[in-house]
Amino acid sequence: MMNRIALVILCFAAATVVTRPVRADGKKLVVVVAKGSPVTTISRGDLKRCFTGESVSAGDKPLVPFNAAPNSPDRSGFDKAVLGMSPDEVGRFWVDRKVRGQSGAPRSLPSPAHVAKVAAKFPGAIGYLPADQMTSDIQAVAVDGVPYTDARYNIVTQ
Amino acid sequence: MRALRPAALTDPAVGPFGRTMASDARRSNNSLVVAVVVHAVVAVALAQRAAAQPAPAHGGDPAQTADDRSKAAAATAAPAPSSDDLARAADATAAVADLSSASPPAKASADDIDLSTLGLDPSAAAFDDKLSIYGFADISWTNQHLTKHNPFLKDATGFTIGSLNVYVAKNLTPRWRSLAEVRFMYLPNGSPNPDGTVQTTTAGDSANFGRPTQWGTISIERAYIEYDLHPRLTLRIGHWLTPYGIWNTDHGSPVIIGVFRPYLVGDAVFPEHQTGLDLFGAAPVGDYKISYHATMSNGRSPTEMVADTDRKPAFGGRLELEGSWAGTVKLGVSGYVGHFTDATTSTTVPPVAFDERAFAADAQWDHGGLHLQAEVLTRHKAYVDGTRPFTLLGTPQSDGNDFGAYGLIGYRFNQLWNVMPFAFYEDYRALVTGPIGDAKAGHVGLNFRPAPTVVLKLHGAYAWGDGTGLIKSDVYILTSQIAWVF
Repeated sequence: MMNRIALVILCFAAATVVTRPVRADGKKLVVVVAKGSPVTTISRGDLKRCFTGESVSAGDKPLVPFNAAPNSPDRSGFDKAVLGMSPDEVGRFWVDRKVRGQSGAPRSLPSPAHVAKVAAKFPGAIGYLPADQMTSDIQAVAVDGVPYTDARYNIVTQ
Repeated sequence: MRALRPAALTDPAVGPFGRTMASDARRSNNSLVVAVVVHAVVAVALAQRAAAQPAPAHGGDPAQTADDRSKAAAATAAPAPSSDDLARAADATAAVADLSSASPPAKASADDIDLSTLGLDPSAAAFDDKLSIYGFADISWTNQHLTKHNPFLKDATGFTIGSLNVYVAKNLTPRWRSLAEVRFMYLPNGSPNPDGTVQTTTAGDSANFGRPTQWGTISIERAYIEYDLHPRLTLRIGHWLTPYGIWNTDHGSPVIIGVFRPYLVGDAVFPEHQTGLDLFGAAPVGDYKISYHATMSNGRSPTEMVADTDRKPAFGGRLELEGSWAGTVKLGVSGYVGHFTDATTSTTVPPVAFDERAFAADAQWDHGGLHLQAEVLTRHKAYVDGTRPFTLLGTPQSDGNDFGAYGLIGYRFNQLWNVMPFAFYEDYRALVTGPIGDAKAGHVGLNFRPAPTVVLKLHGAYAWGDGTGLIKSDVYILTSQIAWVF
């Protein structure tokens, strides 16, 4: 009897472990530039610098960052994964920069479709959008050499 | 998932385990078998479901909430990577991955989006050339109490408009930009005189039947133009804040944690402003960032913004290293060498003049909500003979050093209006005996950030000197402030 009880407990424990809720991750956010751009990979450090007001160039051309709309899942996910900041922290960061006389936040665009359009047409533009919003006139940029199709890629919506 | 386990446990065919383990062995055995089978089936089914889902992102947040999970689960999953993609990603040499072929997009960008309506015409200037006007302001309520009466500083209570600073910024071309910061002040109205009286600036207002009104002034905090010589090097020309330490360039009340900066920072061991050239930039070096400044200016003087009185330029510089060690760490060193000549106010008394060499080091560490910062400043002054001022004892001031340091600790919570309790301690030993001589002070307070643009502060300080200063008294200050950015 005791063995059976032990077996049941073991099975229950095992089943409970196996059946723990699987984390449902957000959509992957793809860093994008215009199709044909020489930018095919970027370090996470450069990406952070680019989106925190510092000048980052591809060749001799500066990259022009474009953000997703404030408070959108895309924006929150990117800010958390790349800048390491919550929405509140991001707000304080940019306000404090203004008081210091430094440059302001990158331009925000209202939708992933706008990001795709701007990335495709605006010289030097770099943005990010959900993987299912990719279009044929933009190309994905690997981050630290990791493409968004890789399981290790962790820039996702929140 | 959560719904499955209770359902299984309360299924009448299974029954609760407590009841199953009762005296009826047969019933117990049946229940045990069913429980095992149900759990096994559920486990297998969910394991298969999990395998069919995209793999979880590496380094994700394990503290995701149920809401996050439900939102994320509701979102459309990213397309599963092909085996070729995974193989290519696993190859460390495949740093550059052409992903356009890995997941072919179905359509081109939307045709109904007109970039010009966003102010993003690709044929127009590729920079933001809009005139930007913004600023900050603050109002404080202060209660100041001295333990001993003296004529130089008195007990005081009341509200004070401290800052009303307006910025005007514009990118002139992709490589030229300008910034001006002007502080509007009520001063000199209300400014204390050395004898304890107060200045007033009353004039008849012609727009109001000549009734008395008080006028104020402005202070040009910054006015400069910048040119990018190189992506890593910019030349700034004009009137700028001396790049040293932490809270000289972070001089706006919304970004200062307490109501006021440490006394030694405000005492200008380095000149607060300079007029001249500042060559600066920043460069990534591996995982670090190095920032640098090299300056040449008129130096320190009451009239430095319009002339180099002694025709001896001052030189300075700063190096800062920023890295990610258990958070973000910034380490900086700064230096300044110059010659000070006071403004000539008398044809018979030569103005005070001295050579000065100042050095400073600063450090900041941010780890989550924790914030630590510290600055150490020192300056050597060597007076020009014949221009030495006199000490309070009536003897000529000797050459020597100023020295000061402070350390601050704070922790920003993400609740209660993002409150940050903070405390700092400072020790300042000035060469020229000032109001309170060699002084020490302890500060504690709270900094609230209910919105990124609004800051509320409560600050208590206790300062005491060595008795050699003009104010032979300890000072208690309790002050609160609201500062905002507009």
